[in-house]
Amino acid sequence: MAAGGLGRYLARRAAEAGLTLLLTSVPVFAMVAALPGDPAQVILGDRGTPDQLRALRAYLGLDRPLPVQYAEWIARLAHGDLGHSLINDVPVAGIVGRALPLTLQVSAWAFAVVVVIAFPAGVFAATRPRSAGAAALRWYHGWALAVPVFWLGVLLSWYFGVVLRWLPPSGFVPFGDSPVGWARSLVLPGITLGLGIGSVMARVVEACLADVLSNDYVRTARAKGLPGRAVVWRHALGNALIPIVTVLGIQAGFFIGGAVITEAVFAIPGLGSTLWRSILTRDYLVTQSVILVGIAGFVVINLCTDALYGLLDPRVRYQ
Amino acid sequence: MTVSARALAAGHGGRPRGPAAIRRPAAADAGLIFLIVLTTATAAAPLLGRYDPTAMNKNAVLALPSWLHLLGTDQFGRDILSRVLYGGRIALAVGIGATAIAALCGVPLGLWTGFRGGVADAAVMRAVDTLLAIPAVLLAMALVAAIGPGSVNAGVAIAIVGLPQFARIARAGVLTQRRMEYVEASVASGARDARIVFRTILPNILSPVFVQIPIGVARAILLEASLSFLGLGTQPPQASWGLMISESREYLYAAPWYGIVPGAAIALTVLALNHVADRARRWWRTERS
Repeated sequence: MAAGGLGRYLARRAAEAGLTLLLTSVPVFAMVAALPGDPAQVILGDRGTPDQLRALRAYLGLDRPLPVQYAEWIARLAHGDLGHSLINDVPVAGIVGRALPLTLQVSAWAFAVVVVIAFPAGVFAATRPRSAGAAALRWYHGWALAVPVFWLGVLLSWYFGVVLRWLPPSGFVPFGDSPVGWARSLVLPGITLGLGIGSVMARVVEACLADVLSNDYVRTARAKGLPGRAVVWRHALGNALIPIVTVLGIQAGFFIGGAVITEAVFAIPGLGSTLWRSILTRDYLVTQSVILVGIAGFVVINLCTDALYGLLDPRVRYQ
Repeated sequence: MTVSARALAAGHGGRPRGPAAIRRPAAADAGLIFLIVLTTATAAAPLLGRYDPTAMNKNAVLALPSWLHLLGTDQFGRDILSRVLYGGRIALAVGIGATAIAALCGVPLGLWTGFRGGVADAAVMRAVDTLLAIPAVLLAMALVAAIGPGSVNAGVAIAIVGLPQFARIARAGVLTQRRMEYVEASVASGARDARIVFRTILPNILSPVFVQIPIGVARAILLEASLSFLGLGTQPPQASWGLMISESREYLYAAPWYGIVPGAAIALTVLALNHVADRARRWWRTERS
């Protein structure tokens, strides 16, 4: 019954995620459809004759009503066809396919930074709330949340990359070319993206753990003589994980937005840089697809946190 | 588990104890004082800055700080102090303006649909949730891509990004209040829905809205700076903190203050707004209890 309950729960969440993705595709399509200018004109430039422009609009489906264009776009998306770049006629799916792994690598490093900051800092502040260390951490978190991601990236790039020359100030080295170079090229972007979110999560870990530590079963564990570390890491933190995971899912949106800015700062050719360039060059089909991939990523991350929620809290499966 | 996800995300599920509890009100006061000083300084930019923020001087390129130029000059010989002050004007104007628009549109929307309920409420809230499902920076970039770059367009985009949050807060408030006896009395007395919503219920749900306002302004200032950094917000030669940081990248080695000062201005402003929001949130909790 437990497996069936979890399966039904996940199926329901997946259906809701699919509906959310479908609904968000409407404003994404509408925003691009509302753009001034004629995509056929952009492709042909000044060379196009009126007949050529008419033929190209018919070929691209631009002469059909907007709801029909939207339905055709969704149907193409369902088959993995994201269209072609207006600038260089390269399949958008290929552009996204090359950029996405880089964004995932930057995000993975940033996630590691978040975990390294959040759990030690949060556990320390929750278990020693009146200490000078906890006060210092709260002061630090206030600053970390206020510092703009792009400013932090620029300063880190300048100081560690240009002044000290410890790390590359920008660029990306593929793992296959040099594992050490790959790691060095992702340290600063990872810290830039993960520092602020790490502070958010540290405060969440502190709040959740402090709440759990006030429960009777924790007092019982201490009364039984369990060492403090066992009480916190074995008994308390597991129950505190449920809201932590929930908030981590909410923070995924800031992760994705921060990745766009981080890649722009460090010139990493991931999805964020691709989106940024496509907006500046008015390559609208690329803009549309990358935004949709970003939203899909956010939806999938929240689906994963929902699944994790169902695993961590058995009560959720039976609802 | 009694701690709400929003309170956790804001980092205030725990109660400050000992020294932290004493220090917090002082931090909020310092934040308020900083905001007053900032607003006054940016309003007096023509007096304090002394120079036109876009005026170039090829004889004073990347000049060191001096009595003539307190924060030095940039790569075009423009006075950095003047550009920081005028950039502050844009940051505050976009931040406050976008948040005001988001609140003025979102609160009535949430109030009305929450009170009426039914299909309209479900449809509007589904649209609101759809917007909330799109990461804020992505949504702002997409909107700017659609309507074009610039400070005003960035402000409009940021207002649209912030609107769903106010709609949700107002709706949550009205769902709680409409079960209260004073609302039932208004309904029984034959008052029209608009009067009940905007004259009876609205004053009682304003507290959480006021708490959200400094948070919204901080978020709007960060978004405007981010968009300007990416070249999608304020356009050159206008001054914007984000644009200044972007332009300073090549010159940090020779003039580090060029990039440090506008970034510090953003961080201090956001920090001050967060402290004010903390104070407002604590006041609201006290009022509720």
